[in-house]
Amino acid sequence: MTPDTEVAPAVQARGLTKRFGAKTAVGGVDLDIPRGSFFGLVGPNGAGKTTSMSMMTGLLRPDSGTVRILGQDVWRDPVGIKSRVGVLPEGLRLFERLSGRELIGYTGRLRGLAADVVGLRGGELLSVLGLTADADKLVVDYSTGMRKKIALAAALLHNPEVLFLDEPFEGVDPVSAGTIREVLHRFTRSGSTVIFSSHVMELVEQLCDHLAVINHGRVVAAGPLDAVRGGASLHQAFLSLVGVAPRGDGEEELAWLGSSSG
Amino acid sequence: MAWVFVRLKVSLIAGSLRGSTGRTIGFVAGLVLAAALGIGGFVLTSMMRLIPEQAEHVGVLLSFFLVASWIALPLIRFGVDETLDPTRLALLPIRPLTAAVGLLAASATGPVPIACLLVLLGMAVGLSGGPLSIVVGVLAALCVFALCIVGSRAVTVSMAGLLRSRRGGDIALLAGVGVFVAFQFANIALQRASFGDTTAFLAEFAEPLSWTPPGMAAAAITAARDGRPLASAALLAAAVGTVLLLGWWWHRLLARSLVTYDASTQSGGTRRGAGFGTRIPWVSARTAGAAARELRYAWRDPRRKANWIMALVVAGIVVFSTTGAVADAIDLQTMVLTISVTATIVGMQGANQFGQIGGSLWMQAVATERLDQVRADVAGVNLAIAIIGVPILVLVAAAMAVVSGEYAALPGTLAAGLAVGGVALGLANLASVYIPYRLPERRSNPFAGPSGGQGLTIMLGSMVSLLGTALLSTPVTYAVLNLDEGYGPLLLAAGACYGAAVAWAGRRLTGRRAYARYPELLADLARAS
Repeated sequence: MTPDTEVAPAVQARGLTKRFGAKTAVGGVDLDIPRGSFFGLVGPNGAGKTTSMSMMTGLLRPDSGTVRILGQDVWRDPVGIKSRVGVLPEGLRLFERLSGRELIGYTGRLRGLAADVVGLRGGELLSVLGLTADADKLVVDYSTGMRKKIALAAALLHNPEVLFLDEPFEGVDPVSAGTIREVLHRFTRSGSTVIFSSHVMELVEQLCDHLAVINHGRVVAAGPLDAVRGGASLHQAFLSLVGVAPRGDGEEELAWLGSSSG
Repeated sequence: MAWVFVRLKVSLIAGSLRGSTGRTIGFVAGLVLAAALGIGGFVLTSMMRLIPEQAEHVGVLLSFFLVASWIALPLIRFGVDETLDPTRLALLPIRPLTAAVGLLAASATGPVPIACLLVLLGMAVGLSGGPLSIVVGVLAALCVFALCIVGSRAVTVSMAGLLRSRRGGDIALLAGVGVFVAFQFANIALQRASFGDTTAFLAEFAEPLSWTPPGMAAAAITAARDGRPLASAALLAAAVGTVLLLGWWWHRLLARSLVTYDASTQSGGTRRGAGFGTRIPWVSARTAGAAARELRYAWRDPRRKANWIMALVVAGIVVFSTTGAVADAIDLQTMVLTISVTATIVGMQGANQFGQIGGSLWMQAVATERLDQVRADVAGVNLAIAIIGVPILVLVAAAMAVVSGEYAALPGTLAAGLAVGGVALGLANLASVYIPYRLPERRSNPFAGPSGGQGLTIMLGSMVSLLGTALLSTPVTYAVLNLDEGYGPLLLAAGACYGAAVAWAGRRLTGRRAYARYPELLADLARAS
């Protein structure tokens, strides 16, 4: 470990590019995510948030560009880095035919944790996330909120230093969302880093201290929350950044929509 | 409207091929094979003109066999046509009749149905003899084709509600196994029948079947040829009537399935067992974890369970068909052959192990940074297969030894079984990274095959693996068959070591390949199907 890894940012991406056939999903993303930050990755649907995140977590091979996490190159030198990273990807397909408790147990095995550590941490995570009562049900019977929570528990089990979450609050009821937020806040207060993607600006405004706005596969703004929104609400700042001027009432288009039309 | 459905099916096939050269090649090979079958079948069946006496019997048997297989296929592999699930149409403003016609048109689209139609048209040519009988022949061929399509769709829809629930998965399992067993027993019975007089032999089977709707359609052609227009018209009318009746029934089932919502997945039991903390001596924690996961899945996942039950059933049938008839005549050769087939099936359970993990593969990927971790995962899968498979092999070998009384042949038989099983497992490991394939996500569907367009790649892959298994296990089987039985214990040890060594080597190569292209595996397998 070189000395400068001590001060390296949590995540540093340079020129990340990914093309799917003729479509460029991510066209050169540069990002610096400071350690200990609660970092929001925002952008419209299809902007390249998930693709960028998959490349940063080592799940999707970039066409070009580099990703360094805690100073170490994820793609060139993966040994030792994945155990410092936790991931909750989109879609959340889990081992459906294991119970919640077994899923945590298996994750512990994959992460190479000792059985007693897994038992202790798993029990606490399940209890904090309110899953103890359902821990012996198969994941296939879990609701969306429960799935997010069990996946979060699995992502936190090995106590990562950097946590990537793709839309962690989508489809989650307010009670579960509150629990997840509490856990995440406690996590960042200890100096760990959370990176999460969302397109709910109010949520990002409440939770994050830093953010980056992605549009058409590029970073259009990045930095501390106040610098990015520049006095306005994040919602307004976002709309002007992604280049959508507020429409009028759209008289010309959609004239047929609604009951007053013929 | 029907045209829209046909185009939908074509786009679905095209979409599943996009971006994968391997799959495209597989599909093209499938097209060529279907074309060869269709054209070859047409030529062969039209040559029935040369044997007018047996032609009617052959025609009746052929029609019956085609319709029966079309109806049985969705039972054995429910979801032959994943792309045409009627419940996906539930929200669209489509009348049931339109949907019915459209789905039928889509069912008839594809290389296999067209090959089937060609064979039937060839039969029409083969059975007919004049202008009138040609017309009747074409009508009868279309009628049998319609029976195939409508029958298959009707069975699928009527089973769909049952199959969609989680318990239903188990019922489907039984039904599928039942059909398979029945078919195999019919096959065995057929093999035992006397082959003395071909015409009499054919007639014995064809006569009762000529009163089934497909049989009547075929008989209508020969009736027209032999100058019995009234009989011909009556037979054809009866067959067409059956098609209409079946179509009406299917249409009603479809109308109902479009408006009923399935809520059977709401209740779920709890599972409590030993956690993942159990340690196995000599085995790394990661391997033990993967093995524990696989063993749970073998029981809880209907698809995995279906694979194992089919393996058992096939083993049983092989044992029965090679040994059941003539218990006295069982010799070492029969025993080695039988155990080899069983062992191959057991070993092949390791094929597509990454595809079976499917969408949840990322959970392993995020926890994988070193090559030895991938190898540990593959080893865990292999260990689970050995834990289930070795007792099966011992059981089969012991059963044959008891039936035949050839106890001296037992060590050699077992040696061959372990060697062949190990080789098959090693090659299955390799196949799982070289030809991984997506399985549909629908969980209630134990016999669902790979999603569209991948079938032929897999078939070619399996054929190569089977050939490789036969070749690579030759040293052991040769030794077993040619050495004195006194070498039994030695052979057993050697066979077990040989099998384990090949499986181990396969696991090492598999690990290297999977480690190098984990992201590509993920992209390939996680793509929505």
